[in-house]
Amino acid sequence: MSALVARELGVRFGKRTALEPLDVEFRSGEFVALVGPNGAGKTTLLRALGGLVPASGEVQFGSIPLPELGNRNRARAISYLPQAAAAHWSVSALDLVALGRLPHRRFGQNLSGEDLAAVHRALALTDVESLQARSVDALSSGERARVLLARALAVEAPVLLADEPTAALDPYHQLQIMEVLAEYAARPALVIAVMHDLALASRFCQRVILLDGGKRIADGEMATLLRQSELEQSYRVQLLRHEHEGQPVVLPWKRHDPPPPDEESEP
Amino acid sequence: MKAGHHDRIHWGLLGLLSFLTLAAFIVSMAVGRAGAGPQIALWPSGDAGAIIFSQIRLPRALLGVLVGGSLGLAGAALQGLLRNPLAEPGVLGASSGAALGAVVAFYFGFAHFSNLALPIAGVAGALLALGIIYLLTGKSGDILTLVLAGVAINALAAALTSLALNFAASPYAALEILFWMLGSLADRSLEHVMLVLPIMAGGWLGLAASARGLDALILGEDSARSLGFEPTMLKLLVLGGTALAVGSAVAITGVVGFVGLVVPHLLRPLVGYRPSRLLLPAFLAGALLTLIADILIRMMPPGPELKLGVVTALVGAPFFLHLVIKTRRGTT
Repeated sequence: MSALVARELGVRFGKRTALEPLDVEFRSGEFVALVGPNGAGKTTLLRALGGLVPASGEVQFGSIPLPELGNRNRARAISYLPQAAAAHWSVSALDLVALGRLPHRRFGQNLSGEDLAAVHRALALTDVESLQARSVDALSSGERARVLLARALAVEAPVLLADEPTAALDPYHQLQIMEVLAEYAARPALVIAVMHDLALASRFCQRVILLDGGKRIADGEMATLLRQSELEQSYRVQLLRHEHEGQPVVLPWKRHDPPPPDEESEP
Repeated sequence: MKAGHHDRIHWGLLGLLSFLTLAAFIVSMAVGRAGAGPQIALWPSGDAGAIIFSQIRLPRALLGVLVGGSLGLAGAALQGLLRNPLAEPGVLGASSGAALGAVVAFYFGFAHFSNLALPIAGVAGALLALGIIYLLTGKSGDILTLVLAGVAINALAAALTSLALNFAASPYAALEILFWMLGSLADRSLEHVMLVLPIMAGGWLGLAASARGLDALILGEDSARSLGFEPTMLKLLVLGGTALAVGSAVAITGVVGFVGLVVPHLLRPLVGYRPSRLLLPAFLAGALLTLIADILIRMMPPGPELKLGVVTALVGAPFFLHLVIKTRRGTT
């Protein structure tokens, strides 16, 4: 059964169409990358799939439409890690990760043994157990990104939506976070991540959805996508392709000639 | 386990604050200028003693708890909602809005129709001020917009209040309004307490109901929504709760500023910076601070009584300045 199904899912901000209506299905166990140039609608699609932005059409979790699920059950079903996530008060890393258990607790209820176990599983997955007593303000950006990912993992939701989880991280921590997400998908769960790094996406994600100008351009395996021209056209770059240990390696190499000025105006 | 350790500190803090507030309440009952010994607090004796106890001391101490608690609680919730240590009922203009509402009710004589007119007008004034803040924070809740909006609302409320004073029927009426505005717990009756208690309690419930959502907001509005807490609902709970609790408090006691600023700020490190854990301690500490200030006022040498609102402003305003400087350095 599909974990997440979108039918005619579209988003408009005022007069601007941020996402043209599309049908898409995701299965549990998949690790899907949403790729495309800036302003392509990747974040909008991710937020619409999570029910976080007013959208036309419908998203179903299993066979239940999100609005019928209710806020609380939706929060248990779909975990969301925003882009450039931040913490507004200098709480401890442990308290921050424990926020992921909020949908599982009732008003006035403290963390149960099961909640604490989930929090510690998440801390272990992202390798931040040793940081749990530290204030999030005192963490490096790499440490903070892992703690915030642990927060999203601690929900232990069957669906995890992550917006650029590897942005602003060094290669070691980029690989580490992608490994954690791949492991999470293997549970099985559905992981959908907005990715800017095509190399990481091709290395870890079995399925890639390419968006451009609010439209879905392609949807399939990275290896297939790399054999076609859509990626280069959308990104307006020349890609170097290579293969290593049977896996595709891709590297943006050269910009294509700039388009006429009127196409440049899209932010 | 770490979480258990946190819980112990939390319960310890709550216990300590409860004890100190109770102690301050008893001391508040024992202190005063009327000729009654301190034993009145525990053992009111004789007719005069009973009257001083029930008509003067008890309402004053009770109002100290209710008003101070409301201010501390509302300050903590507002700071959690706006994720900003400078948010406070006074700074955001809720208090002066409520004062304006009460002055209008007073000025146009609504206050004569019903006892409830004054608190209702106070709540309405606070709602209006916070409504403007709500509209402004819909898109961006940045610190500068907020504080500037508060400045504007405070200035507008002050101007309209001055207008009312300007056209007051008699100098005596103007003076009465002016003295009331300074903020004081003195000379209020038990009827006043009973009048505002249900309104305040409604506000407290709204603020308390936001607790878990305020924790979720640590991660920002999108994450809060993804955790099942609708930010719009949280704003309604906190701003509505503040309007009810602070609006009715101001209508009875005038403006007592900065309690809601100072108290949450001092307690925040003690509760591990978690907004939900801050609410109850902020209520207790707000009550405690207000009771202590009111006790000190009454222990001053004879003469015109120093007003509570004047004292809290004298202490709170420099503290606010200190916070602004700290925030500018980004070390809050």
